[in-house]
Amino acid sequence: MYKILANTIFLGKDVQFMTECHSTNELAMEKIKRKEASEGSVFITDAQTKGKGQRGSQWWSYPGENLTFSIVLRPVFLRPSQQFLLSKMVCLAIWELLSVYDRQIKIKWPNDIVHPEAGKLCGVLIENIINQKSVEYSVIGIGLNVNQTDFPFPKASSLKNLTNIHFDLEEIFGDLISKIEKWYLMLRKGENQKLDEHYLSHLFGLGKFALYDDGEVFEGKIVNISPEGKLIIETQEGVLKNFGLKEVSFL
Amino acid sequence: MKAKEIQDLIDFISNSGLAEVKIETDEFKLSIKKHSEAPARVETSVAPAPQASTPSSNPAPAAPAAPAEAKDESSKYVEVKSPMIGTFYRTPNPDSDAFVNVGDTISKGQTVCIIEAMKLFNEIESEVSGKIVKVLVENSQPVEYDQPLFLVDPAG
Repeated sequence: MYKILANTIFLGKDVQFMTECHSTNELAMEKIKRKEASEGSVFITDAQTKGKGQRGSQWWSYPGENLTFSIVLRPVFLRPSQQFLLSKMVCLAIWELLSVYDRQIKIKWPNDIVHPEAGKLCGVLIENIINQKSVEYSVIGIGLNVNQTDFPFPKASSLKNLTNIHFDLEEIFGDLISKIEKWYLMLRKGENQKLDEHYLSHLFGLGKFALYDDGEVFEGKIVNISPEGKLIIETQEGVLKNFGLKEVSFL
Repeated sequence: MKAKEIQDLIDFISNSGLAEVKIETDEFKLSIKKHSEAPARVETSVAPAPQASTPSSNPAPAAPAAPAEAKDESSKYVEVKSPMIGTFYRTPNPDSDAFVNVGDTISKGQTVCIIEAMKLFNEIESEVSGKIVKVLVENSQPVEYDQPLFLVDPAG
């Protein structure tokens, strides 16, 4: 399962499939350190036994129904301070894949792909190895809900739930990989502004007044994203506020 | 810009305390760098001063010793600095051991901590080899760009 991809230049030419794996991100990191992975390597599994989400939390998925994989990139052309572009790049690739099936799909800051009513469809976990000057390696873990139809927690959904279509995982995988490659090559060419614009144009909540909580509930609208990836919200009084992660929540 | 104006500018800069000046306009680009010993001399003349003061004449005897020691430390030890703004973590996961502890010997390229920003997790590679002398930031604290994180003794 998951053959080497034919329609890409460098991504997915080295695909390592495991029926079971603790966490594809952790495996990719281990392989990098043993010099057994290079730019374009992909690690994919049917079942993650210890899938990683954000620090300490777990990513949960039914075996064989969804896509769980990690890709290895070497974006050495990025300074550590520019790394949010990696989030933008991968979110845009996933958005491009999914929006074909449902036009309501949006990118939710910083790196979720959501359907406004159905909830979260895809999770991204990016782990880099950096030094003072550049991003040496980037491991991009993607968990995309494809054919799973019931979720033991609210606000989660899948492609099948949205479309009533049962998808071929391998086809979706190939499609997604080639889209990631496309957006990554754009980044490598230095077309950062293009990524900024596209990310913003598909951002959930952009320009619409909604309730946010930064310790106090207030009404505001998302107007931009700062270069380091912070959310910029304009309050009803016209004041611009910058928020990092966990400094604000969507209500 | 006329030759006389450039000459005046060079005179002005050489009489100032500046070591390097770069000026750029639509018409020209000018870069002046001084190769004098001045900065080095300033440092050597300042450094012995605290040691010269006699502790007995000072109301706080410990005070002059401290800066002298700090100076020693900073010259002998190397700082591992944060390449980015974010949150500093000493462990790979909340329930695992720290990447490095005081007294550990590290080698160049070894991961010393994680800095997280906007859901991107970054393993920071040390650019020096040596022994960890001090951990300068508490776990899960915010750090600024260029903030020293660890003190490393390259001779250790």
